[in-house]
Amino acid sequence: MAVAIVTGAGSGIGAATARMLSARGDRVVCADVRLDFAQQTAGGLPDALAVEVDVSDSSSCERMVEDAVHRFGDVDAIVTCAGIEKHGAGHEFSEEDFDRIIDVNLKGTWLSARSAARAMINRGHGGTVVMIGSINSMVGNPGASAYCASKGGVLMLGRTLALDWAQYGIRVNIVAPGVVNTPMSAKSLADPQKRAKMMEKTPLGRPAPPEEIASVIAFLTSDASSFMTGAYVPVDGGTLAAW
Amino acid sequence: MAGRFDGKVAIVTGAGRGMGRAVASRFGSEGARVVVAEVNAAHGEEVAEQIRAAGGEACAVQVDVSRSDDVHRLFAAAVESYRAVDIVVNNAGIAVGRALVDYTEEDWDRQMGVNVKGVFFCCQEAARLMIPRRQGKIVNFASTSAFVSSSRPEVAYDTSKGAVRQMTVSIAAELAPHGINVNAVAPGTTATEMTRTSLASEEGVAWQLARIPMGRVGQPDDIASVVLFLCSPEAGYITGHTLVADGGWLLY
Repeated sequence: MAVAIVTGAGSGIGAATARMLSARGDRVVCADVRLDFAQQTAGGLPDALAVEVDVSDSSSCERMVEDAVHRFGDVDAIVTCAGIEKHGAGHEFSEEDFDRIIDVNLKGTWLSARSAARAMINRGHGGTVVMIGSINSMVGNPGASAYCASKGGVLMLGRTLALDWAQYGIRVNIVAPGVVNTPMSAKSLADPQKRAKMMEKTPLGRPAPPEEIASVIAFLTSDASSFMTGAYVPVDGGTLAAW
Repeated sequence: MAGRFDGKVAIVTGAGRGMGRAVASRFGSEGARVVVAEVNAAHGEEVAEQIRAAGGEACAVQVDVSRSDDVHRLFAAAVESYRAVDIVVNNAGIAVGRALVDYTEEDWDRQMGVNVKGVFFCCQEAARLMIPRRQGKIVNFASTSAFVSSSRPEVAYDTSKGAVRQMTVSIAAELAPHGINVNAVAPGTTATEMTRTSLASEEGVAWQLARIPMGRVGQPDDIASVVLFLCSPEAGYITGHTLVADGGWLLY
């Protein structure tokens, strides 16, 4: 049975991913900055572990992977769902907010993937890394410059780590959700005007439930995607096709 | 036989060999009723027979996808045999490789006829059947050559794959409101008849492997598993995308 670490497993896409990987038989480490949220996800799953992690902190990421190895003996996959967003016009945005978004979304993705890859390389086997990019890795979103920058960064981070780690048999792919029903987008989706605007750019005409992103992550952490590495995989209901 | 595609009807073009054959076989083993569409009747029959021998359901239809009347006949035959079409995989393709200065008009027309016109009319026939049912999955075969030039001069082939990629985008946007997913797959170097000559010599293989970060060429099954994923409910929110499965070829 494979061991999978999911960061940001306390809610949204991370929680749905933890549940789906567990349902197919993986032993799942549910990691979140909020331990109580992580426990809530892990509590409903057989053979899952909840850990607290601040992905922007390298020692916290190392501890998370150590905990995984200690409990389950190995690490085969990591899915880096931990991410934050804050809106604000570029000329008004604070340095503190900018740093925080880059620290969690971009640096945190690298730090958590790095810790997991080290464990895989040290144990002499390959594995899979799935990073959460966004359609905003490719196209802009007014008022979300820091978020878009962080997700653009995740795309090139993932593509380059795919090159660094191919020789170790570690595949790295980047999932790019469009509009998803998560706590992050709950406020916008609850506003009828904003929702209509978002759906205008979504040819399938509906937001995705988090499970529809998790199912793609499950594919990318399975042998069915054996020849895919460094791939950018939009799961966006056609948004980029119609941009 | 229970599988992910139980009862679904899947047309796979160019299913007589290579990646198309792998896709058809996988559909057969996962419960789909497979229409093996192939220009070479003997190859098509052989694959259909193989699927049936393994306990699956399949029929072969001889078709030249570059002829729209042939394509129409293919879809009519599928409906006659299995009553509906749920999945269409446009894999049929040829590579007419030449130096730019050596291409004839006939070369160009043959290349575009199969790879572009063939995909277009198969998508059109598919859409006519799928729109009233408000469901369907279409997967087209692009290539890494839709993004960068091929490893040897074949501008007509590269152009045809670029066209498939863009056709996928436009048809996806048009058909999304009807609940139909349209995507493409972009294989890198894959061990098939088409790449046999470039992989025939040790130098050829070494050159390819030096360019592929994963250190191996793709196998038809590597690509088939991606195609089946795109046709599955798991990929329900993916449309208009060209999924690259190239062992990292395009990364640098």
